[in-house]
Amino acid sequence: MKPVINSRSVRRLGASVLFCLILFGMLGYASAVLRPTRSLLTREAGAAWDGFLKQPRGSIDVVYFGNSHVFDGVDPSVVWKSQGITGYVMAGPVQPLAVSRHYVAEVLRTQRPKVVAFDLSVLSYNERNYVSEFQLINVGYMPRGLNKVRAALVDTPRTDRTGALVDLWAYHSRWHELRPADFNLSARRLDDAFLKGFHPMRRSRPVTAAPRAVSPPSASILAAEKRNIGILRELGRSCEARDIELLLFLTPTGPPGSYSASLKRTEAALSGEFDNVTFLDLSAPDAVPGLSYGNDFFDGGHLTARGAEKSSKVLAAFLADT
Amino acid sequence: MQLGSIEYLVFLTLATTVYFALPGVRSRTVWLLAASYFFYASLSATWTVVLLGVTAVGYVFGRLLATAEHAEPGEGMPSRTRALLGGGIAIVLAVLVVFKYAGFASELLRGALWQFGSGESVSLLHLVLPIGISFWTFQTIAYLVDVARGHQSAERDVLRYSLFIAFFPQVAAGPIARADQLLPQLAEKHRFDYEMMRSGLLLMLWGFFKKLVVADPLGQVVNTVYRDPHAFGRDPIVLIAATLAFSVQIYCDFSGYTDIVRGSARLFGVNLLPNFNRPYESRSVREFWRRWHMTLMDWFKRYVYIPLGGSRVSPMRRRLNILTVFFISGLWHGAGFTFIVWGLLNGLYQIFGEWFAPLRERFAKLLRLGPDSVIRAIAATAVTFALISVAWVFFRAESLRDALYILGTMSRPAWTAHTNYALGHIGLTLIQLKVVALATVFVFATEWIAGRVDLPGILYRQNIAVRWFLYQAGVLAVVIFGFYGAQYDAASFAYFKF
Repeated sequence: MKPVINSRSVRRLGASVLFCLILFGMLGYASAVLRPTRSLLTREAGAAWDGFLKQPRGSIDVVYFGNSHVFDGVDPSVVWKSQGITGYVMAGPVQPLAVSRHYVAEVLRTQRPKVVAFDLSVLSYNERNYVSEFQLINVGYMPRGLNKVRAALVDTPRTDRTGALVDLWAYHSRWHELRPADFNLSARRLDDAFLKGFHPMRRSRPVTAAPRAVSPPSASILAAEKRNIGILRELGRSCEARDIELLLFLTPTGPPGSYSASLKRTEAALSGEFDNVTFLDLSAPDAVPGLSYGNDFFDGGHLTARGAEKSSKVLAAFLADT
Repeated sequence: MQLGSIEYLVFLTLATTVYFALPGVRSRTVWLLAASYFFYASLSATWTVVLLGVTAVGYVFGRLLATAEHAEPGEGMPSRTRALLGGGIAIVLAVLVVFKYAGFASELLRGALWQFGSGESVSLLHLVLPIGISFWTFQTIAYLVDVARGHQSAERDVLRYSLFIAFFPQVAAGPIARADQLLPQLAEKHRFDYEMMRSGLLLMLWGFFKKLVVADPLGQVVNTVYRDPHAFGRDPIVLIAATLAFSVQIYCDFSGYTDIVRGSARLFGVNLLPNFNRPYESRSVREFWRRWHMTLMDWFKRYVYIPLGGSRVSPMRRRLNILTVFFISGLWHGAGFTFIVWGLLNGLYQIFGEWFAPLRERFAKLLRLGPDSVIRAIAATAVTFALISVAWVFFRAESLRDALYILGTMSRPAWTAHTNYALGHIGLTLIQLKVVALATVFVFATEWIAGRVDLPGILYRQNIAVRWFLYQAGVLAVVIFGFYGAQYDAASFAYFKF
């Protein structure tokens, strides 16, 4: 009787598998070459995973999540110098809470922080705040694994899912920008881990000191807040189960505006439910001693390195107290 | 789910794996049919019901025609058969006309009434065209005619018939299958065939190369120029370049699509009909239309041209038949005057081509160029390509006015090139243009060679290192130089809109 699977079929199957492995290897290398290197040293903030993954396991006390307010406004080295608390900023440009929760899951694979801190200026983010290019950075640069797949499939619009998962989809068109040095992957990584995810801005621009008029939130903002408070609730429960404190805070953002009101509404919604959640509004007037609207901001919402230093000292003191 | 997307490749892998894991023809038919409807719904969810409806009409009328009498040789079709066939065709055509031409008709009516000051009373109809409607309605009509003529037995199995119409590789834009060619293949139990798989995947890779590395980047240039031809001044070079680019784009787009779908079908052991046979090597417009979109032209020949009398009528009537076929062909491609003019122009080319044939012969004799002369062949090919390219202007232009402006500017003797300005505004960078130019030469050179030697056969005879190197290089070329992904607004296949 003729065997159903002959040796030729087995050889062909083996060759096909080997062919696919080589092909995926080549595609992986092409992806790595074509994907732009992100480094805080070349002013590309956010998605600081390369540096983060170099940290010794279990060495970080606090991880800070959020958007540009965090990577421009929280300097972990200041927190460490003033209170001996180690930390890392894992924020991304216009990064929504929905993506940050996957960051938390990924961070917890290698670290056991005592506190996870979220800047809540992202609380009102809705579809209008979505920027495709930033989502490809925030999700696309996550380490390969289930958390990245979840962030891409659950919290990325359909049009950007493939790009968030497949680097070549997003970056293959860079082929004409490549230089010979780009092909040496180990040489092109810049060691920026000493900045701990912080993105220092030097040049300042004065912002107005006059208090902003806070108009009542629109229905869409309230809906976004409600959705995001739901995510915070989920995170609160997850942190509680792991004995991690959840700090919900605001960096200084010029004169207090709608963010403060939003933080207050969140506090009202969550403070009764959790013992492990604390709130800190550094955008409140005089919350950061010596902060100058003239010299410590580079735009209305973002601190310069000097402003971040002042603000981070206050944050460090708060962390040490709680 | 676009045909050139990662989703499609995942879907195809899953569909193929499950297909060969299933035990019998029946279960495989059910699976392929479900996959086909899933694919179609992902393209045009709302209008899947139209596909279902046309399938139902084709099946029911096919069964009714099977019970009716067929014509004896030399006799006309019996009246009941004729009535049934007419009824079936009328329903299918009505669907096509409503979706494809109602908007155009209302526009014409509105325009006509406007002359009398009452155009406002006619509201314009804007129906979304179900993807592939022109293809599967024509396939249904061909099936009904073949059954009525007794050339094809009516399919009893409703699932197999449905699959014949909706088979996912071809449902969006053909090739238009003939029942005698596809139905028997769908009834067969195909064994997993390594050679078939390999040739299918290779064909798909070639299709992706043509589509993503050549057609879509060129489409960027063509779109930029044709969207606003006035933006480049009265520079004939830019317009000529864009027109030539469109000639290459439309070929690489549609033949690339055909290669992908024929390759996809081969994975299931099914051979679909070819649609192209190196058409730009043609030495006359008539030959071009035997080598371009072959399944459509075959359809027109069988079901329009021959029933009209074909070539067995007076010369004047034959010319009228040619014009009729190309008028319908133009209208089939799109509801608009540009398409009608494009169709008629191609018809006229053929009529004038015949008229001038003796003159051409005399001229060739004068130059001592025999029928096998290389110079004569090159000149004929170049003239045919030029004529076809001129006709493409009507096919691609946004309006008749634009088409006439483009043709007028292209023929201006004062060649005032604005090359530097154009290079900065044409939609591609210089390095991208160089890569596309190289890829275009590669495509046409490869196909020219493939027309003369068995290129896949030569490839398969190479040792494994050479073959694997070429396969991997091909995939990497498509993946790296292809026009797709987040940075580009990748075009869908041009013929999807028909």
